[in-house]
Amino acid sequence: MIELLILLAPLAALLINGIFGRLYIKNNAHYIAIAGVLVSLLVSLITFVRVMGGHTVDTVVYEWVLAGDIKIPFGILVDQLTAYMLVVVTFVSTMVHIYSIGYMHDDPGYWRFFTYLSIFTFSMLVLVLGNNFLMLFVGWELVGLSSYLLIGFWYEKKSAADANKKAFVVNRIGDFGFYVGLLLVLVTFRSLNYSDAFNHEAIVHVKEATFKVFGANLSLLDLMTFGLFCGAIGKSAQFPLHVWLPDAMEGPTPVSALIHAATMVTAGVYMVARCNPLFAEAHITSNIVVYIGMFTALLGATIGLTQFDLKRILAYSTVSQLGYMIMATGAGAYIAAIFHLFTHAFFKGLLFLGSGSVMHAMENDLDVRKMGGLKAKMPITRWTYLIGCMAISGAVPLMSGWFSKDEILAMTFASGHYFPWFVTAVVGGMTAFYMFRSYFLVFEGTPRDKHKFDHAHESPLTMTVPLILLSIPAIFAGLVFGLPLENGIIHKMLSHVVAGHGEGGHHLSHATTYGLMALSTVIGIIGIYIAYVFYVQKPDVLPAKTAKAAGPIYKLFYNKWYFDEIYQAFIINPLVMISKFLWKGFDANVIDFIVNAFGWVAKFLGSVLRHLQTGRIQTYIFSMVVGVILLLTIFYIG
Amino acid sequence: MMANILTILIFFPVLAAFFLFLFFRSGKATMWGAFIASIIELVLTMPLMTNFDKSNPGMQFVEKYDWISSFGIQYYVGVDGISILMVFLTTLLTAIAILGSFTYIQKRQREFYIAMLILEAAMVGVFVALDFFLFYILWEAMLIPMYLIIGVWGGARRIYAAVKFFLYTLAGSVFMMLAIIALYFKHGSITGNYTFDILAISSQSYGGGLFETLVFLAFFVGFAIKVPMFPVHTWLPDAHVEAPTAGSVILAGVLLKMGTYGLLRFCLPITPIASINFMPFVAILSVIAIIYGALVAMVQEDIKKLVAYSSVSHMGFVTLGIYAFNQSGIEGGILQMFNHGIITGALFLLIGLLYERTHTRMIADYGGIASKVPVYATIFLIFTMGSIGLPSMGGFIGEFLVLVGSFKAFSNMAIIAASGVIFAAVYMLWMYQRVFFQSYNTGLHNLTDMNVREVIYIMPLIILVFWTGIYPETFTSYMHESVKQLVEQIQSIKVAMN
Repeated sequence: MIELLILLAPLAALLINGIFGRLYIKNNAHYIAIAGVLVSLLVSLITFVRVMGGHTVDTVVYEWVLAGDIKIPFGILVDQLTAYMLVVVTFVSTMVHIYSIGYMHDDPGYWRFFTYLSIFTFSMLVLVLGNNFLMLFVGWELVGLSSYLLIGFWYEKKSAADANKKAFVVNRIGDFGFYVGLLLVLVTFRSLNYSDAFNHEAIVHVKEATFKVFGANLSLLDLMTFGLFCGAIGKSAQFPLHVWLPDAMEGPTPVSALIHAATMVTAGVYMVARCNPLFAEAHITSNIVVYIGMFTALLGATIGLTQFDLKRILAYSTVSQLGYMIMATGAGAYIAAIFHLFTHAFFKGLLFLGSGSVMHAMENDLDVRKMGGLKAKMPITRWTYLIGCMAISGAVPLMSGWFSKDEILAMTFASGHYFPWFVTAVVGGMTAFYMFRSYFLVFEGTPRDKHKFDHAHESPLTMTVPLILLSIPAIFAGLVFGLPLENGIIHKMLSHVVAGHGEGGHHLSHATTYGLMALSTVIGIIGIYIAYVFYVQKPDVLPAKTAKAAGPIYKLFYNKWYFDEIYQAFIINPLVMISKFLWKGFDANVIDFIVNAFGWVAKFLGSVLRHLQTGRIQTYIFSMVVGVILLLTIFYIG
Repeated sequence: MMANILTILIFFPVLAAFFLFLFFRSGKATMWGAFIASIIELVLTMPLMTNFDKSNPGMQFVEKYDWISSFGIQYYVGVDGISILMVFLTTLLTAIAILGSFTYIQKRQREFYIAMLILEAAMVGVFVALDFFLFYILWEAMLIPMYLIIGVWGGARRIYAAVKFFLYTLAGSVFMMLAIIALYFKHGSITGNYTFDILAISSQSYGGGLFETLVFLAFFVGFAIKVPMFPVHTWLPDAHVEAPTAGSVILAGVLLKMGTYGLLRFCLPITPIASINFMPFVAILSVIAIIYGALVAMVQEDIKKLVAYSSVSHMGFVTLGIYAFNQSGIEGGILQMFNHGIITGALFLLIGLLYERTHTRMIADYGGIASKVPVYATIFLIFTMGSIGLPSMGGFIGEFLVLVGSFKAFSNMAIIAASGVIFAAVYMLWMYQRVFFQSYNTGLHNLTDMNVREVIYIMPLIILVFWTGIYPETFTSYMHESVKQLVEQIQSIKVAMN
């Protein structure tokens, strides 16, 4: 049960910093937080090695929720999938912790920041370590809380306060579906434990079953998985709930790297991969998943092409990359999805931390139009950022992203989803274009803001060392874990947790695989070349000219397809109007009118009956006698 | 002592109130006296909790004496797995509410604290009474101190709110009284035993005809007003807004629970067939309450009113769970009653202590106070998240069990109810943002953070909210057997009906 330490260390750190941070620990908070996350990292690495040796754990720590036939444990599961997630989470988290010493230096909320980081690390670990759906949900909601706290870290800014609320609420919309999915799992399998729900015989048993919901008979498994997938739509920022992620960039940049790029947003991918025995049998849902992922990949990329805010470019790139992963899970390529999750965590974490380093140099300005030529000032940031761009572009053979993204494309092709394959292959070119666009605009060319350029400087060691450390897996993770192709260490390990022990049973001939890889490499190279022409050779003419030529399409992309405006007009405003009507119209005018009407009737009756109180004794006696006679008569008859 | 623990729990606050009335002249001394008395009362609850036999589904610590024997009226009290947590909640929240009133209540302090103690006695009595006559007297007795607390120590529109509260609940009581009298005669005519003994009346079947339906409806109206269920909820926002902090805490924390407790103790066992017949009706009303309360809460401008409407929504979960007629639903409902008492009680205390400093409850008057009052902001956030139903806190477990139970019973209703998790996040976080985040509203000078006394009375609630979330079995273990018995009773009738 050494694995429990992975949870307890950050928990201890968050309690210590949370209780004593403000008054006593203050600017030393990082020691405690880093000690916590280091213990987690160390134990995670040990666990990883043990899992490689076949040592998995599924154990109950205590019985958590008990009521009648419901019995849900607080239990942990460590298998091959968990092992990968543990390494990703604790490694990136450690890097971000170290980086934050430099980045958050001088912030009045220094201790608070590290407390929140510990809360996040703890929550994310609960999410990946739980052995049942309810624990998954606990982690799921707690990372949502951490995200809320960290996006709103600088809560004095209205934009930050809007963004964190938006993130939480939009996620909750997805969670609503997840909740229903979870209830369906519970009533179907009479348990929320993975081991019961992913039991092959149990699934076969309910494969043909239907469930009646609002009068419609729907396939039980499809309904269940669709509900669960709604959670992933929220958490992993898929269309149509992707709108929160770009706004989440209001948080400090280390947070964007850790939560909104490397780990939390991939929880949806993890969840679908974890539930692969269910999704594999739910064909309708899987198809929905493929197309949602495809569309999200396209959506994120098109917006990413046009943005000028460095972090927003990266955010939309994350949306797009998450789309790739989600699409892969829908196509049954669970291993490819996790492989991309794994490599993406490193290179996207690296890119974000790099953007933070740039931001640091540029006095918190993120507008790429004001940058340029920074390679002279900040060599480490420049090289590591370039490594990140090469990894994500998929155009540079043998780098981590090249392996994992091409595997997703190949597997999508193999599963027969040719249209999604085609779209995302083109999106690959766009990815290469917009990533190198950002690189060229920031680091190459001539400085566009002389004043800012003169003040720019390389970041301190606490920030550059994590960049270097992250660039190592960004280069080599694919080579080490992904070779030989489709049969690397990661494939061998994860085949234990994927039903049917393969990538959805689809296999391509070597010739096809190599052909597809060559094709997507070429597409990536074309993307980079276009970016080079646009932003290095003719930066003053071509971009503006193209934008003008594209007209309404450019506007659509630049304005993020107007999603926020549409939601505001068609969902938020009507809802507020309805609520105001219910309150001021219904509550106050209808219900209270009736209540008050009772009051008026009583008052009226009172004013009538008052005349009976004449004060004349004869009248009283008379009415008393009549009353007694009446009563006696009634009793007599009764 | 253990044999008479319930009587002690009922009469100790009354005696303490008398003692304070006779011998304490100053307001301050009465205040401390009342606080000490409420702490003693809370401590006295502990042996009740620890000596309670969790494996026994029936009534425990029973005391039964003839009172007015010619009418079959008894002094009959006892506690089971359904009521014991409510007794604990009552004594806990009363002590906390009294401590929370130390600086809030400035006028007529003696009368206030005496009223609080008498209210406490009546509330404990309502939860343990097993004789209808006794129950009814205590139920009505409770109204008077509550009416005074709102009407004397309340805000500007206190008279309107107090009268509205009084009339609404009195209307409910009248229906309840009719039901009780009808049951008294019916039970007497069937068995020849004219008694107000609740257990005896419960054990008799009334055939499910018109009589049972009418009795059910009469009870239901009475309890629905108390809960309050849609559409008889409009007294609650007014009463909450005008009530002083302690009044709101007790109102939300304990009084509302009497409605749902009544459903569990009377409607289900006495009129099971009618209850089963009306199951879809109650479920629909509950779901409306969940969504309606949340939507209306969203657009409130007064923080207290917002929390009041959120109560309508949360209590909707309780009634939904109870009317699922299965173990997870009912246990979830009871747990939700307990948690709602803790969380909403805490929110009202927190709003009250802010009001003491700023004399405003309008959301628009605040903004950016998190940086000025970090401890307060953190604690408020804990209970905000608790109210939203964040896992690791009690509210989540209650809601989850309710949704599981209702999903089994009526899945469509449960799905609509589950969407309440979205709205809860919307109204609570929107309010939190406007009060605590964004730029500091400079109109609020001299805002000071929570003092030691305030932290002390909030602390037990913080511990409990996490305790119920992390290890709910401490609390649910009390109810397993009693709820099981109740569910089996209902289910067997349901089977017989088909």
